[in-house]
Amino acid sequence: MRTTRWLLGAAAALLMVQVGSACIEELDLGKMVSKTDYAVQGSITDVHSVQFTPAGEEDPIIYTIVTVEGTNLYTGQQVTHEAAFVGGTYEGRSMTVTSMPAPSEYRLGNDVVLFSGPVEGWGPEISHCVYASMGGIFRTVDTKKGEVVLGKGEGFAVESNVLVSDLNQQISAELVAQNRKENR
Amino acid sequence: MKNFLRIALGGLVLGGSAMVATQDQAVGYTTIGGTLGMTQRDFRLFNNFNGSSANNNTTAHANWPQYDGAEMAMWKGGAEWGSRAHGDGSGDSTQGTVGSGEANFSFFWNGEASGVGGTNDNIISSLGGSSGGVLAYAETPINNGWRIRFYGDAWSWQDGPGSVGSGIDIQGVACHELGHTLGLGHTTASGSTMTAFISGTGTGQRSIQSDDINGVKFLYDARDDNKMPWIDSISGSLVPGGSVTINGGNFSPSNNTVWLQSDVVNGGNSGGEAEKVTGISSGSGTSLTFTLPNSGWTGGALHVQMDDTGKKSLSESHPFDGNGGGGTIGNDTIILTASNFNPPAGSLVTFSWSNAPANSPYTFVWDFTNNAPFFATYRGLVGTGTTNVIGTGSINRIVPNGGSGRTVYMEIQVDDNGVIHDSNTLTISVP
Repeated sequence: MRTTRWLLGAAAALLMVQVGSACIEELDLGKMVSKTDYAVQGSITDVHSVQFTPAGEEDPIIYTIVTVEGTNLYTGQQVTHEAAFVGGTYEGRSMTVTSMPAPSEYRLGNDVVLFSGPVEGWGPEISHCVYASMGGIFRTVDTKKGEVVLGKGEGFAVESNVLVSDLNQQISAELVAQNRKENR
Repeated sequence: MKNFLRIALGGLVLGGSAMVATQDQAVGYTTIGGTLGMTQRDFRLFNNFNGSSANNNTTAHANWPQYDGAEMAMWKGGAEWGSRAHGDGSGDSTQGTVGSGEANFSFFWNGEASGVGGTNDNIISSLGGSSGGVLAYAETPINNGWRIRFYGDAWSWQDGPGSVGSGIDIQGVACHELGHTLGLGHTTASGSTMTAFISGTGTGQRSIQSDDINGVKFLYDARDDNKMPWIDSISGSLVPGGSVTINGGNFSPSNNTVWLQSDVVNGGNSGGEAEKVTGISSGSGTSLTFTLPNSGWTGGALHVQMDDTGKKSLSESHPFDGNGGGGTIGNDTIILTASNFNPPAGSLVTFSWSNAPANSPYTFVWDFTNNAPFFATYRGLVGTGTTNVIGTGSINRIVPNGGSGRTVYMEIQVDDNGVIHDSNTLTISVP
């Protein structure tokens, strides 16, 4: 009975992170690291949406900006970082797109690891995106063994569940391999 | 409850093997909510891709008439979800048959749009700016229509038609995104079109796999071979007012409707509506004959919708290389020129052409009216014949004495196994 409950619980938690519908590039951790300058492990402290009409577009696009306070795993520094993805609800108008993370992923107060890289043309309020949108945000949970990042499966930067401490080590190795100059 | 959560989460931490087991159980298609009704099967492309490789396929194919470049690629991406093979299924060297859905569902390719459209206008287009790692997305919900945006400037989009060496394949991504618009979410079934990520260049996503097929069948039911109409062949006079016969099966005794591509090119919803010929009978159930309207349609794709006492069912798409009724067709790929554009009456003029399909029959036509972009109707023949082995040719003609003071317009049309290639329009003014 205990085993059954354990498996059901695991399945339920997994279902929570089987999310979104995107069409993103295939990623692994190395590729994600190479394309981003933030990997913030922390808590979501703000979520709000803005709209902006990019050059050449007639209608505005809605962006959701997520603020994460925590540690940039690339530098070890404490940061308050804002990153955006396309889609959201602004002043009553909703734009739902298949690349968005599931709402359960970017809820206020969630603990996450969020990968973020610079973007251009997303308006004056946005300099960084949640890289690969739903492919760039990963929930974390506390366990007896430490904080764990919930993987999202094949093709994602974090494929399997991994301790944050282990992910941090893997990121360090990638930074060295990529000859990145972050001050860690 | 607290213990339960702790157990569950602890299991996740430790569970490398358990994770795999759980993921195996979770393998399979997902849905996003909603389906596309019969009025939402259309899709179009606003071809605002800037990259040269997105539109450098100019090779025509009989199974995908009158379109090339990104348009042909998008069309194939949608046709792959069709209930049966599109035409003879050929045209993609990376898969055996285009048209693999096996469900009671087919998209309706309605050609070009002139704008990105609204969120419910079923138009695919390119979006500029940074992609942030996303290739494309579909705007949902889908029941009342959708919109797909490709990040056109952020990736090196490739229109194929064969395998793609670098960049990202338009057809594969289109097949994936159109899978969302028909109601599918992502799957964890490896190798499926509906996995969340595009693997490599994305050509692998062109061909839907068993899990994708199960998904579309779940949403729209499996194809009923005893009820769903199909098309084997189209014959007759494929011009405005022409009589056309469609051979196939499961046509209803009455009230069949033929869906033709509309010649309306806009960025609004009205441009997505099919030009329909209604009330067509079929005594045998395997053949029907109808008259092409004089206007309102273009060549490209065609469907038959049968009416089983009010329960309508749509056939797969079929190539239809009609010359269009007031439409905007004609690709002007043949270069036509003349030795003299202002020849006096009675003089000799040499007309020559190049870049035409080789060893193919040509029809050289003229009219007092400029019927560009395509001379579906014309006043007379300059000549007929067969192009040579390198697709060039010439013909000499004497300007009739009665031609003084007249201006005529000319075009050459070459039939490459059913695909009509045409030339630029030549203007000859006789002093």
